[in-house]
Amino acid sequence: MTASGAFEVTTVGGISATVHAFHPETAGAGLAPIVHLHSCVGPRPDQRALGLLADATGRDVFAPELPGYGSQPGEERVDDLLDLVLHGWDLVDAVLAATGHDAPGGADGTVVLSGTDLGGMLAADMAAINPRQVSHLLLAGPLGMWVDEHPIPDVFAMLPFELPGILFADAAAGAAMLTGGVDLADADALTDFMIANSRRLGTAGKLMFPIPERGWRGGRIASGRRWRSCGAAPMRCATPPISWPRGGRRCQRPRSPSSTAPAICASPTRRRRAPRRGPPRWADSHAGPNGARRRARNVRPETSARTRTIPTPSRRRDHPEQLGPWDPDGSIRSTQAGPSCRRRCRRAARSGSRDRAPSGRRRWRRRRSRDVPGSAARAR
Amino acid sequence: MRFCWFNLMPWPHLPDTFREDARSVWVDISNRTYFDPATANGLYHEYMDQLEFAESCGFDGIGVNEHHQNAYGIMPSPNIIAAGLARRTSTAAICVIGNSIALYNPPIRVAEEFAMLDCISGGRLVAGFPVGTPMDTNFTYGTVPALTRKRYAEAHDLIMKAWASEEPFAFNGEFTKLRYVNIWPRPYQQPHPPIYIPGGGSIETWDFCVEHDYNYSYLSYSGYLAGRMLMDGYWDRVAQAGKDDSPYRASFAQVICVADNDAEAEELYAEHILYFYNRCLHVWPAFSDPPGYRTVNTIKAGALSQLRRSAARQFTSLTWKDLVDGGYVIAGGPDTVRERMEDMIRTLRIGTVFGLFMMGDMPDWKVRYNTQMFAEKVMPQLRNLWPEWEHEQRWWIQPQPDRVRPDETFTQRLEDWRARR
Repeated sequence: MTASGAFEVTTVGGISATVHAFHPETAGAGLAPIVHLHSCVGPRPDQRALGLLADATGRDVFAPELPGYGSQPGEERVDDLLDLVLHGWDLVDAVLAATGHDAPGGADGTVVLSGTDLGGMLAADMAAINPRQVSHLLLAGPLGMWVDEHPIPDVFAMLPFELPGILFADAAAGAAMLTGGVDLADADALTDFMIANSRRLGTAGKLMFPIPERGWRGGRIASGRRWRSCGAAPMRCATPPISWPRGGRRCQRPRSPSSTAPAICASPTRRRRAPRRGPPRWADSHAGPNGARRRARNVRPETSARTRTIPTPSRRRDHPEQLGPWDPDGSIRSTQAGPSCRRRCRRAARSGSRDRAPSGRRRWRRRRSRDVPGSAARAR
Repeated sequence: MRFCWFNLMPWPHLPDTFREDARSVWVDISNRTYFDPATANGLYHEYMDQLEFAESCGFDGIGVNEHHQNAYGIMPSPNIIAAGLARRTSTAAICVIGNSIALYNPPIRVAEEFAMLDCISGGRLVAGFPVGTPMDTNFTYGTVPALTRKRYAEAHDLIMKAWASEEPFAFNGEFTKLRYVNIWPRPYQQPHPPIYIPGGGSIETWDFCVEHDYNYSYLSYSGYLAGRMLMDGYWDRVAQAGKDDSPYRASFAQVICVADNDAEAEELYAEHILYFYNRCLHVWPAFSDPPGYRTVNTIKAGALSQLRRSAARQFTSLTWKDLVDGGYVIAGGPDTVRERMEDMIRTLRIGTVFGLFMMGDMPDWKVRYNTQMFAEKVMPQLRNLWPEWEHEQRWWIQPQPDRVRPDETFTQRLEDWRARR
């Protein structure tokens, strides 16, 4: 059973934050902790998954609240992605110091950076700006990539009641999480909710509005050749598989021998976001001239698919234009992370930062041989 | 009292089924299905003719404003319309209410264009600086909602400094960095044209107006009865700041329909007013209030937002009687209108009224009849409601005495010259 709790930290910049902590049943020795950055709607929806993540990896998981999301002020000091990236590293330092993970003999101050949608975008840019301190990246449905042909839904042009349907597989449970279970018919509760919602999404808007793509160009420049050598931008090559219906459980590791931070992608929750039904042609759109073909091969969107079809709520059909592209049959596809995903993550993460996680290609072969009768022999 | 004639320039050809067919009149409304450029040719001329006609009727000012990607008002650039009006009018104030300065990059563009308008019109410009609706500023022009006010404040500082500075200066803002700010031309009116800040009830906007001594212009379609609470809030802030309570600190926009008698007003105008409330205000609610646009303080003043939202919902079910009784529209025969106008002016304590005489799909002849009836039978009786502030010149234009009057013929000028010789 995962032990969990919370503590307060104050960054060197003077912004205070609550940090939710999850400790695994069996902790691995000397493993870098996971710092998880929450989604645009706040930390609550991630909690259960974080306990699973701690157990699956044997690592401590720390989930700090970003400015605008907790009870403390601080969002007025964050205006753009760079502000938040720098604050993110301040938070990591504060968390490591508070938990003793920066002590000698530990993981040398490195962390596994993890993030969900907005947090994924942030984690990717934090890694781009300071790759030496990142042992792994774990990005779940990260934002940060825009493809004209597949615009993600505009959460800012949605009414509050529409959000759970787009953010959660279980809209009713999502609605309860977003509102904290309060009755919005009550005027005071409604005002409190409006204020919290305004702070949360107001802050998120600084990074996501009107198009949630901010950091790639800057990240590329900041990260220099080391990252570029494994693709046009390593975060790009790391993010899409997780965003997709069919590649969602793939772990991917940059191939570059000079890369020090293997990227792992996992999909630990049942959450679904638009990017997951995203572009089948991301590699064409976003990979560099040399990387395009390689990644297109790695991803193989048409194979290794185990998808679950979820009936589409009727209001989506009413306003399909706000929701982006949908499958022609009016349903969407979503992956569900099963035990196999957690096993893979655990294997990859436990093996340490310099160890090889199974490459995308090898694993794809393995899975294909499992899924498709007769293909095992061919693969060998 | 001052009366300005305002034209929103609505698109008058939205179909009866518009509410069912389209989710919003703003932002994502199809410009293929609903808009027709050839029709717009005549429409723009008609609307500008009406504004010029208002001057000839004796209105103190004529007003235009800025909205984007919508059928509510087809005037993304009010400065273009104002330039046309500056050439064809000679006495009325040209009220551009205004340019949404948070969305100009760099904002000195507004300082320059307003200065041009002030020079062309000979000091007749009233400069409006709205924060801008979320539909325009955020969804159309992409400004981040939570940064809108910061951008606005910076743009305001830059424009005012550009107008006031006597020599080139460097502006090192957060959003705009300019090494040489040195606008050409500069405005005629000194220290600057009168500044009007249109607002929809944000507490920050009240404080901003009070602090800088700008006119607060409350624009709402919920009418003056609902506006009373908001204006009381504004006047409280004025009193708290220790400023005088000149009614010319505030203005109010009101839909006005005048006819020979009350029954005729309904017969003449009801369908067009209902067109406006049902189609031109059919905004997808999420477009009008993205998270972060309103400040926490404004949300805390909860009643405001709920008023706005519930009002928006109500619009769909309102009848003519509801609109008139609720004060959304002041309509009727001259006596009725005069009485209600006086009530409005006194209770809201306003010195300037922006009258909306052209609403929805009202045809030109009705607009002119409405305008003329008001100018002849209502306006004169309302002129003297604030005798103690009779000589108030703050918040109004200071036209150039020897300005060129484009309507003068060369023979008149020749005769002037001969007379002076």
